[in-house]
Amino acid sequence: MKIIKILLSLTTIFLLAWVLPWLWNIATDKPNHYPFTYYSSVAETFGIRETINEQTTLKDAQGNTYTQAQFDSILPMVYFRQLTREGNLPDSLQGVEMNQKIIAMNNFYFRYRPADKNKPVIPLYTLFESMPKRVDLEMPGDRFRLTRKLEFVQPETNTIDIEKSNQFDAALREKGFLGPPKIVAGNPTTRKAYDEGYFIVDSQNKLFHLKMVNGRPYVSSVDLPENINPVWITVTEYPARQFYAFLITDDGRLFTIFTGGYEVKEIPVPAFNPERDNLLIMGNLFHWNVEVTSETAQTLFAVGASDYQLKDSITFSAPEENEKLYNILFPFSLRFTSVNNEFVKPRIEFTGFGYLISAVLLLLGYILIRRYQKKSIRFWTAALIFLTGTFGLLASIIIGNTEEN
Amino acid sequence: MLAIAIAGLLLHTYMFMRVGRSIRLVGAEHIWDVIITRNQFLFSELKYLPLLSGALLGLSQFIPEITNRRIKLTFHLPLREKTITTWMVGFGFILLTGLFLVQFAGLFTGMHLLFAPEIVNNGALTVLPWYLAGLWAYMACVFVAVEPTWRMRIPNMLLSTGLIRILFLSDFPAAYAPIPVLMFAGILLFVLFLWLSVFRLKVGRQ
Repeated sequence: MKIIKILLSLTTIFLLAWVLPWLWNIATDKPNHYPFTYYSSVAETFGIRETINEQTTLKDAQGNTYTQAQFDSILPMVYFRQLTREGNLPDSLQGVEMNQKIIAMNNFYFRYRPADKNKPVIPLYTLFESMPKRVDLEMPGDRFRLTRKLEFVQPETNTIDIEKSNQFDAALREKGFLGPPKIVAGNPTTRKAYDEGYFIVDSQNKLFHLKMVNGRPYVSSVDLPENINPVWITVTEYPARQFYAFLITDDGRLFTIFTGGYEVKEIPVPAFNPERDNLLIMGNLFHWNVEVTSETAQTLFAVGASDYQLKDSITFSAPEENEKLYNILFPFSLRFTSVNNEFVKPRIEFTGFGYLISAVLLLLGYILIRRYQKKSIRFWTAALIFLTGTFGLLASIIIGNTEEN
Repeated sequence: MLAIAIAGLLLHTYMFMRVGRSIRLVGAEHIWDVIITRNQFLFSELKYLPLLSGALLGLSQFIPEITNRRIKLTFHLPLREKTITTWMVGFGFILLTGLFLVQFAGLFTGMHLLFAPEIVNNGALTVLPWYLAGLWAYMACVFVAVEPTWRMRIPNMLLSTGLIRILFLSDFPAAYAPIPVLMFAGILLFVLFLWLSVFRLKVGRQ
């Protein structure tokens, strides 16, 4: 019975370690606002728009402030619609001709969140006809699975299209594909301008491009740089058709796979953490703004779109959170869900030894009260208070002493 | 118990009728697409059915025993109280598990006719925590009901609610895929806890 009672105490402690920090965060959480920042291809510095208490300031990284009209003109890649309406959009910049249409076609937004990768997926993929007879893409009437073999399943009958499966499987094998794949990346939606099919990383870390062209397989093998381990690929299918995809490695390096020869180029920004950091790339004709947001800061890197050189960077730190009291009260916290991961599982986070301050005080209090009541001091209760501080004491109050059934 | 079984049967029939209707109306390909790319689970009405079934069974089985103090009487029979409780809980548990297995098998077979195994597996992982919640809830009811004092009944209730809440934290299909072992271990944990309640009843805590 004693063991069960200890188990009951431990369970209570874990539940408290889940509920109390959660309540604490609800009570103290502050929003994390970073200013809107974008690299100006005109002023060659960052334009910053910050709103504090409904007061908007427009400035650049050098400290100059701007009026709205001036700000529009240093960021023509953002405010080109406004500038066009006012007739103030220059017809060229850095010797490149531009108008509203050209800018819109070359602007892109690529977003990556860790939860995109860390979630349950049903591994059945839609392969569209890349050269449809009509303008719009159409659902193909089947889905493929790719394990050791590629198979097309038809939803209407829940059966396999053997002929098509063999044809596509043979095409993949011919290029050296060895299943099961680690990554199968594509965009299974008809609401896109065109279709570039799938980028697939096989069990040997080799990259393949698979498309369906006129009902037949198109497979190409792509040479990756040495010693990289891809964990995520996004097929972009942007209107400018400059590149096929972005690729992220396990150590947080970023690559672009270009059209016309499958050149794989690294984006020259420091590695980020693909398990915890959010990534946003805002690209335009001249520069790519690579924005990495971690728990403590947001950094924006400006990279030249044509020469692929890192031009500049700027970092904004999150406001310091006062976690001293939290760290003293709670030795650890338990969570089951995470913004970076759709899976539910226990995640324990230790806060350090700061909790010992409260644990020792609580233990002393416990001993004094027991003495005052002329009751004996229970070893397991005392031990749990010492080890888990607040949680241990509350648990002993809620379910009673560990030794008493 | 019969009512619980009938409610389950009706809900299952209704769910499959609705899915059948959707497939007739918009086509299987679209339904597959909704499941796979938009992470929709078609049988989400099922979510609280096992939980309610477990709780109802637990309460209906043990509340009369407790309020009439019959269980104390049964403990005076020349059988050991362990044996009696094991029989009572074991009977309820096996009945409930049997019912859940039948429901689960029905869902599994039905889904297999309509969907690829990948989708069926995902569905099975989605309903697993719900069914385990039903078993947990049954044990939790016994754990709370058999406990003789209100001083401990309330903590037991809070603890059980907290634990069962864990199984309903995410609506994302197959979100519980990493922890089936932990979820099954939960049953064992509740068995131990209700054992403590039985013990306290036997020694006559007031």
